[in-house]
Formats: sequence, C-alpha cells, structure tokens
Amino acid sequence: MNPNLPYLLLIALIPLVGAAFVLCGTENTKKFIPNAWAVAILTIVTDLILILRAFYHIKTGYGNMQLSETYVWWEMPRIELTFAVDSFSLLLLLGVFLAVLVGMWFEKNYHDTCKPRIVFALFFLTSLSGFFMAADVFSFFIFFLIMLLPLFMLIGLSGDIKKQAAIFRFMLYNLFGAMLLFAAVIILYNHQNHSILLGDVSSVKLREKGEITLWLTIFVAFLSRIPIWPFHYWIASVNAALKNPLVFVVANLMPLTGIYGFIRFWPNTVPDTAAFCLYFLEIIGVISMFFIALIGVINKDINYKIFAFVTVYYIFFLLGIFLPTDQFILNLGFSLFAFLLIFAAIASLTAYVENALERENLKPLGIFSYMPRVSLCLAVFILAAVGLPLSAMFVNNFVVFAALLDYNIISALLALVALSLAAMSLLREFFLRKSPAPYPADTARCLDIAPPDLCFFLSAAAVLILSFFNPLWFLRG
Amino acid sequence: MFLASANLYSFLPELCLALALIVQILAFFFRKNVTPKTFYTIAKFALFASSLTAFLFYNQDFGNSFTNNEYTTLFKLIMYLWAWACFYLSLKWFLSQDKISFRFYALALLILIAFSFALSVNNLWFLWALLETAFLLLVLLLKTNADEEGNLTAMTFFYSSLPFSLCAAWGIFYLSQLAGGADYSLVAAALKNSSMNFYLFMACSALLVNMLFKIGLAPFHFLMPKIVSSPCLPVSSFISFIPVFAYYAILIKMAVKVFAPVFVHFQEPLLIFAVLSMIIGVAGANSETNLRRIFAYVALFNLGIVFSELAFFDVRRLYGSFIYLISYMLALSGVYTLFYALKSKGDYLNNLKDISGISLAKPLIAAAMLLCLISMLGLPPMMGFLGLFSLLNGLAALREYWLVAVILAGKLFMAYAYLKVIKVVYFDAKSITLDRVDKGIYLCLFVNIILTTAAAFNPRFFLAILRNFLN
Repeated sequence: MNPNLPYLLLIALIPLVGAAFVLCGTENTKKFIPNAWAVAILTIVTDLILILRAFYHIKTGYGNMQLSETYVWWEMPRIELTFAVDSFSLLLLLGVFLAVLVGMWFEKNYHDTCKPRIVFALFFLTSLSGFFMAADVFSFFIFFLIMLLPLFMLIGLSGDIKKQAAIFRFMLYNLFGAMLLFAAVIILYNHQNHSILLGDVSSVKLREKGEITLWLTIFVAFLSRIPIWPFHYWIASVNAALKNPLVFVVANLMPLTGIYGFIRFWPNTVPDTAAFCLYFLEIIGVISMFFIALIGVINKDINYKIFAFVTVYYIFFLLGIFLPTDQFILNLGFSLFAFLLIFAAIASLTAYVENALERENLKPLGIFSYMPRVSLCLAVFILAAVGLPLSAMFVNNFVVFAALLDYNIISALLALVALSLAAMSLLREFFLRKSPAPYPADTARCLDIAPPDLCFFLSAAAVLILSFFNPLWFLRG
Repeated sequence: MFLASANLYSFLPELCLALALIVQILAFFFRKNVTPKTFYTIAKFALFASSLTAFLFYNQDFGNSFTNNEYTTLFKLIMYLWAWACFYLSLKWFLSQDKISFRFYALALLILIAFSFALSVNNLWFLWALLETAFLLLVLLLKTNADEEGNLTAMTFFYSSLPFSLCAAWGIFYLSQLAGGADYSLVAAALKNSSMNFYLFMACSALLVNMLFKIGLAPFHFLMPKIVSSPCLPVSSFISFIPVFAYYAILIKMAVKVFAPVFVHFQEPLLIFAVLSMIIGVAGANSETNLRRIFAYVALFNLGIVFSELAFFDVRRLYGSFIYLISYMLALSGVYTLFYALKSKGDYLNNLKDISGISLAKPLIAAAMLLCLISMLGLPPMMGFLGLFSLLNGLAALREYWLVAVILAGKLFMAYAYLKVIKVVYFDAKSITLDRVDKGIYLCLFVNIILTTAAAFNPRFFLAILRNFLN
C-alpha cells in the first residue's frame, strides 16, 4: 500500500530543510535564537505528524517492510537507496523525534553556539531517520557513517569535554566501527554487484571463513556504538560529561544505532556459522551492564547516573535481541519508545536544574523544595524509569525479561541486579534533592520551570502513560 | 613542405598557449603599466582557446607520433581547467603582495605546453625530452619569488632528479635498441616478444621510477613536502595539481600502450610504494603543524591510494582510481583556495594554530574547510565518498581485500589529522584577526564546494561522459 506522498523521503529531508532555514538566519539579531528554536521545534513536530500519518499506511507488525521507496543515487557504480519501514522502525523514529524534541525544549536558554547546535542536531535527525528507514545494506551504512559528523560537531561545540583527546578517541572509535561496516558492505556489494536488502543478507553465500569474518566485522561495527566493556570508558568519558541537554540526548542516542543494527541483522539473517558469537556477546553484555551500573552508583555526578541508566537499559535491550526468537522484537520496540522519551525528559530536566544550580551557586541537596514543577515532572519520569507501571516499559520489559529468564537464568539475574543498581542510583539522587532544603527560601528564587514548560513535560508524561495502556494508542481501531 | 603536410589542428591547443606566451613576453617588454591582471588575462584567454580547440579537435593526429583522442583530451581539459583556477587565485596573491607575475605565468604556460605535448606523443625519446623540460621549468618555477631556503630546495630537487633522469634516458636507449625505435608501438611489440631479463627489468624500472620521483610517490617523496610548503602560494598550488594530473595520465598511457606485456612484474613494487606512501602520508600529516605540509602529506597518502588500484593496471578498474583522484584533487583545491583566504595583516597564514577559532569570524570559510575535509575523509554524500567507494569496489572485485583493509585503516588514522584541523577551526578559541576575504576567492570556493558536493545529486551524466572518455 504505497501512498502518493513520498513519506519516508520527506521524513528524512524535512530536518535538513529546517537546518537550512536556521543556517540562513543572521545570528547577530536579538530574535535569532527564539526564531531558530521555533523553526527547530516546528521541523520536529512536522516530522512527528508525518511519522504518525505513516503508521496509517502500514500494517502493524515487525519485519514486513512497507512503504518502500527506492531512489537511484549513482549509476556507476550503481547505488540505490531503498527506504522502507515497519511498525518497529516507525516506533523508534517516533521515540527519537520525541526525545530530540524534549532535548530541544530548553535550547532557547542556551545562547552560546546555539545556531550550529540546532543545525547539527537537525542534520543528525536527518541521518538518524535515514538510518532507521534504510532497507538495504548500502543505505544502512551511509546513514550509519554520516551521523558521526553532526555528532562530533555537537560534542565539540558544546565545550563540555575539557580533554580534547577524549573527543578524538570517541570519534575515532566510532569511525573504526563505521570503517568495519564499510568493509563488510563493500564485500557484500561486490559479491552481488548491487546493494542487498537487509533481509536478504543471509542469502549471500561466502566461504565459511569469509562468512565468519564478515559477520564478526558487522558485529564489531555495531558494538562500537554501544559502551561495551572493555571500551565502555571511551564512550562514557564523553557521553556522561555533556551538560547541554540536547547534546546529551543526541549523544546518548548513538548506542541505539548499534542496537538497531543488531535488531535488523540478528534475528533472521545471521547464518549458523556466525551464531557462536552469541555467547561472547552475551557475556560481554552482562559484564558491561554490571560495570556501568557500578559507575552510576559510585559517581556523584548526576549525568553519570543518567548515563549508567541509559546504557544499562540499552544493553538489556541488546540481550533481548539475542533471544533465539524474534517474537519479542515488537515488545522491545514499545519499550524502546517509552525509554527514549523517559531518558530525554530526565536528561533535559536534570540539565535545567544543574544549570540553575550553577547560575545561583547553590548545592543540589533539597533543591526540589523550591522547584515543585520540576520535581513533579521528574517524579513521573524517574518512577517510570525505575519500572513502575507508568509507561510501555513496564509490561514489555517484563515480557522480555521473562523470556530472558527462560533462556538463560544467570544472565537474566545478573541483568536484573544491574538494572536495579542503575534504578537505585537514580532514585537515590532524586530523593536527595527532594529532602528538606538546608537553605532559606529567598536563596532559591525563580528557579522553577515556567508554566508552558510544565505543560510540555506533562504532555510528554501523558504520552508515556498512554503508551502503558496501548503503545499504538494513536491508531484508530 | 613539412608544415603543408602537417595536420596543424592537432597542435592547436598547444599553439594557443604558445601564442599567449609570445603575447605575454611582448607585453612584458613593450607595454607600459603591466599588472598581474595583464598576464592573467592573456593566460585566461589562451586557456579558453586551448580548451575549445582541444575539445573541437579531440581526434586530430599528426602522424603516428602525436595522437589525440578522448583520453588525452580529457586530461588536457582537466589540466587547463585547474590551471585556470590556479592562475585566477594567483592573481589575488600577486595583487595583494605587489610582486611581478610575468615569470610565474610564463613558466606555467610553458609547463602546460610541455605536459600537453607529452600527453599526445607516442615516442619515448620525445616523452623524455618533454618531461625533462617540464621538470626543468618546474624547478625554475620553484625559484619564483623564492627566498634563500626556497632556492636551495629547488636546486636540491633538481640535483636529486638528475640520476633518475639519466637512468630513464639509459632505459629508453636500451628499449629503443631492443625495439629498433622508440615509438610506443615498436617498444610494446618488442616487450611482447622478449622474455624478461635483468637489463630489461632495469630499463623499464628506470623509466617508471623517474615518473614516480617526479610525481612524488614514496619512497621518492622525500623532497615533496618541502617543495610544496616552501615556495610562494601560487607556485605551491600549481605544482600540487598540474604535474600530478599530467604524470598520472602519462603513466596510464605508457602502461597501456607500452608496458602492458610486462606490467605484471611491476605490480608488487608499485603496491609496496603505494602502501608506503599511505603510511608515510598518515604519519607525516599527523605529526605536522604547518598547514601546507599537512596537506602535502595528505596528498601523498591519497596518491598512495590512487596507486594501490593503478598498480593492477586492469583497464576496467581505472575508473575507480580516476574518480578517486578527481575527488581528492577537488577537495585539495578547495583547501588551497582557503589558503588564499587565510590572511592576517597582509600575511598568508601557514600554521595550524594561526587558524584557531576562525569559525567565529569567518563561518563560511570554516564551513568550506569542513566540507573539503569530510570529502577527503570519504564521508557521504561528498564526492570523496564516491571516489573512495569506486576505488574500493574495484579492489574488492580484484579480490584484494587486504588492500581494502589497509586503505580503510589508513583513512581511519588520517581522520585524526582532519579532526585536528576541524577542532582548531571550530572548537578552539580565536587567536588572530583575519583580513577581509576577496569576493573572487569566495566565488572559487563556492564553485569548488558545488563540485565537491556534486556527488550528492547523482551526477550520472557527468560520470558517464568521464567513463566514456576513459575507455
């Protein structure tokens, strides 16, 4: 069922158009920042509407790619970009756009390098949406690679990373993964002499050693995006140090690309010769979860705790992907959608609070006594994050966890401990800030968010709660 | 009698350039108030006329020893186009520095004539004479507006080349003795009928190594970074582009027309040189702080990549290396255009730290730098990605997976050098106030960026033409 409108192309291009608008603005004028911010919000909202419309043109389910659009990019060598979606990728797109919208919300308060930040964030959205809609190996790789540039620029321009070496290490590590995928794509392309649909990768028959090397290359490429032990620190040192909410959200969306890579390649397409990797990936995954959960517990910086929470959950989803069935993939999609919204909201509100604390030179202890609106919003999102029945994460994580328990009880229990540690450290931080304030009321003046901000975050919370009852609540019938 | 029987149409491009040279000389000696613009204008019209005649009479021959075809025309047009861009930017430099430009324009035109002839000749002695003349002129060009160090570098370059030139002359002598003449067809036939022996191998190697020294491939690169960084900017930009195109085109022509029967013996040495160039290019670019030297090493690295595919001399795969060459030359010319824009208090900036934080004062210049660098890095949708993919695809088709891995690893290490430049331009604090940038330089940059990003818009027509010409 193909509609007349090229939905997928539009979804990918609209952020680019928004970025071009912002780029054309003159930064010196007073109205520039509100205008640029409004353009960015409008761009994201327009894309959200398109994504919601796209849901009406597809049948719900995982793996049956629909709304297919193919564009010839180059004739020689022939490269076609094929876009297609299923409910799973549309859900992720919805989650990503909502997360960036939440991250963008307070951007109007950050005046330094606002223009390039908005431009690169929108460029990042284009590449990320292209990545989630890519239906063939070549498009998949192109967007996998291209998103590194806006990410690098966003991190560098934020100025939050004092050690430049950390940015270089982070970027080169990610680039290493991309180059591995490039090698794999070239081998696949050359083998068939044209690009291959993601679902057909397993039909490519290579010699046994070649097959194993190819799949190892692909797996390492995806792992390079996830803060996996022993290289977790290379990503953690950057992701956890980012203070700007938009940059923090964008940077922490990167592991999702690795997860998505595994989702698209693992369940049906990995041949038996490469299936032995599963055990190693599981062991590494569980060790990483533990390490990172401990990082969250030990570190006093709230950003580390959020980073630990985000990463532990990402790896949990990864373990879910490795289950020997793909019947839970849609559950993972529902869960990921809620998770993206939750982490973006927590990161955004926390960055707002940290910014206020720094500006007023206050200590975090008891600060929420003077910020009831922030406190209310954060309470909803943190409680949803730790697993209370407030979002789609509750039921769907339970389903995935039950399957994991059934498959490998030790892995499941260790994952549970790591998830509990990450949740505990987040909750502890929240309660510390919620405790009675040690300083007089006039010290904390006008710190709370404005009513429009409250409305925005409560709307996001409403979307979250609706997803608890029915993740696809917006679909008729 | 000779002229009456000659097909003068085949020489028209070169004649146009020679005519311009005469006009330049006359203007220099007899015209009052000559400015750099005078010489540039003459050169510009000459290049236009040469391009037009090269295009119109693309298949005119002068006997068997001077032939034009689509292939030679393509490279002549590329050389003229790049030379025109170099001349235009050089004009800005000469005007701003208030220096005499006659020598530069005259020598550059002479070099173009020599390379243009060299592309069309089919005789090894003619080729040698033309290439050595071009080289001599290049050395003289290096001495244009040069300081003491520049002069010394030029002379060192000249003396270093002598053994290679003499060896090449011996090689041609040996081959012409073997074949009974120095025509490409005769030598090719002789090579086909002879079995490889030590002297034959040495004769072919001498010819090849002479070319590799002049193009600057490792391990014959040792003077190149200094040669590119020490002369004045117009000379530096001219020698970074024109000789590379010329030697590349001549090398392919020789390999196809002369050395095809024996080329398999040179595959491994060429591959070693290519990989060595990549390694030295990466190490050099990462350790340098002088901008022109950084990009001299970047050029060496990219040359290594081009030669990694060229080494196999599979005619069907030449397209990949050619597209890669064009893509990196486009990006590199963007960077050189930026060098003309990076000026503070009248002085052109050479050091990396001088350009720190320029994104704040000159966002367009910074953006252009970013685009050129990501094209060199090979990120989609830039032209660099198209080049890299075409080249790697060709190598994968030859089942040379290890070379694909080496190139990708090289790209990864080279990325560090590019990221360092991006970091300085975008993330560091501003250190210097830049002068106003000429509108002409912005125009050049714009055209360059359009061409560099052209790959994003499916340039199938352009690429199809290129492919037909190459075939």
